Formats: sequence, structure tokens, C-alpha cells
Amino acid sequence: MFSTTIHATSRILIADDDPVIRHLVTRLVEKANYKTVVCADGREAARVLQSDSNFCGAIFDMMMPHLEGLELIRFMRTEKRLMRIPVLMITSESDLKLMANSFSAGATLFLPKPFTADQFHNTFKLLLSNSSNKVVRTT
Amino acid sequence: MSIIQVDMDPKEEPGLYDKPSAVMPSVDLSVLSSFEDPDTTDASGLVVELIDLYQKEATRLLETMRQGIETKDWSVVKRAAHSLRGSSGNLGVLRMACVCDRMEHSELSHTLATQLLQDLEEEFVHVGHILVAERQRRCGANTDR
Repeated sequence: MFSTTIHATSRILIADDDPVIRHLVTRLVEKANYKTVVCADGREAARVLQSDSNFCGAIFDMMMPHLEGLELIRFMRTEKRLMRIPVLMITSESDLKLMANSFSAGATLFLPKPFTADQFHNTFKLLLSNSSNKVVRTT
Repeated sequence: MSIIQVDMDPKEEPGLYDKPSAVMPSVDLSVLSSFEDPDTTDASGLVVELIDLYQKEATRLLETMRQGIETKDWSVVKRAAHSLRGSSGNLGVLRMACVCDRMEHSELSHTLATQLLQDLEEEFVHVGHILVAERQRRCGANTDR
């Protein structure tokens, strides 16, 4: 008999309406050996979250059509099954008030654009260290 | 550090808005290169994908801006400028990002928006040459492997 600590899931939810940044983020996350579920806007992400909470982290663009990142986080923080998912907000806004609003809405981390691959990986690592989504599997 | 400088005569600048500094490069290729994956043999794969996606998306967003200016729908224009600013900045397409920032954050009139769009379109032609050359260099480098 042995026990090992594993991630209950290794899936990351990504939502960004910009195909360039969406592709970049997806590839960087996949490079870190995580599976991705990719959405083109906030509404699509909300739809995914209604039936699927099996994520160890989420990465949202702040400004998206239909449903913005902030609204998405507020929705997640009202649902018990989604509350534990840490959220990284990406934005090209340098407005401190927006940043404060993100945190008060429940964002875990904030990554301003432009970002480098190293900055992304460091922030991503930090995001997952905030994930409570670890289980002990005993066999 | 691979920086391609733009030849620009400051005397040519019109007074409608402050254009990006003449010393600002069009494209800072070191930013794009920072996304290379040194762990794989397909080192330039992601960069080439980003170049292709950027060119397609920038073309679409410039057209959106053009239509928005025609109908004076400034929210459409600013939203497209915001989007293009984000991807341009992140890929090191600096002058495009700078002009998009003006488009997004200025109080737009038809004249100013038209001037900014014209500058963006001219800059995009220049950026296109640089990115195509970079793409060819990388694809050639891959073929040589």
C-alpha cells in the first residue's frame, strides 16, 4: 500500500476573445503539462462551468464580449463547487482600480499584458500553489 | 537582441496627435523569440503560429475599425483597438500597440480616428514585411534541421 499526492484534475479553463493571446496562453499551459479547455469568450466559459467544475485553475481575460472576466469570477465565487478554483486574470489595463476590483471580486492573481513566457510560467506556478485541489489517493 | 528600427522623419509628423517616438522600433523580435520553446526541436513552432495568427487577427481588427469609423461607432472602434493593442504589445509589435493605445484612449473625432487608422494600416504593411521575413527565416531554419 502506498499513498501519493496528485492533482484531482490537471485541467485549466482558459477564456480569452483574442485568438493570439488565447493561443499563446494555451500553448504555455500545455507546455507545463496541463490539459486545457479553451473558450472564446466569457459566456462560453460560464456555460462550461455550469456543467463542469473539474478544473485546477482558470485563466481569464479581463475584457471579453458577452460576459467579462470580472463577472465570470463573481459567478464562480457564488457557486460552492467553483469557489475553490483559483483564477488568474490577464489584462492590458494598468488601472489600479481595475486590479483592486479583480481581487475584491475573487481573482487570485493578476497578470498584466505584455507578459513574457517566464512571467507567465511564474504566475501560473503561483496560481496552482493556491489550488486546494489536491487529493491523497491510496491504493 | 533583434530590433528593427523604423526610418521616420520627425518633420513629416502631422499635428493631429503625438506619433510614437521615431526611435521606437516597429517590432522587437526579441519579444517574439522569448516564446520559443528551447526544450523541443521545433523551436520556432509557436512563434510562427503566433505570427500567422497575429497577421490574420490584425487584418480583421483593422477592418472592424474601418467599419466603426464609417458609422462613427466609437465603442466598436475602441474595442477593436483594445484587442489589437493587447496582442501587438505582447508580441513586441510596439508601434502598432502605441497607435492602438491612442485610438482606444483618445476622444475620437472622425478626422482623428481616420488619421490613426491610416497610420495603423501603413504601419501594419511595414510590420507585415518584418514578420514575413522572420517567418521565412524560421521556417527555413526548421527545414535545414
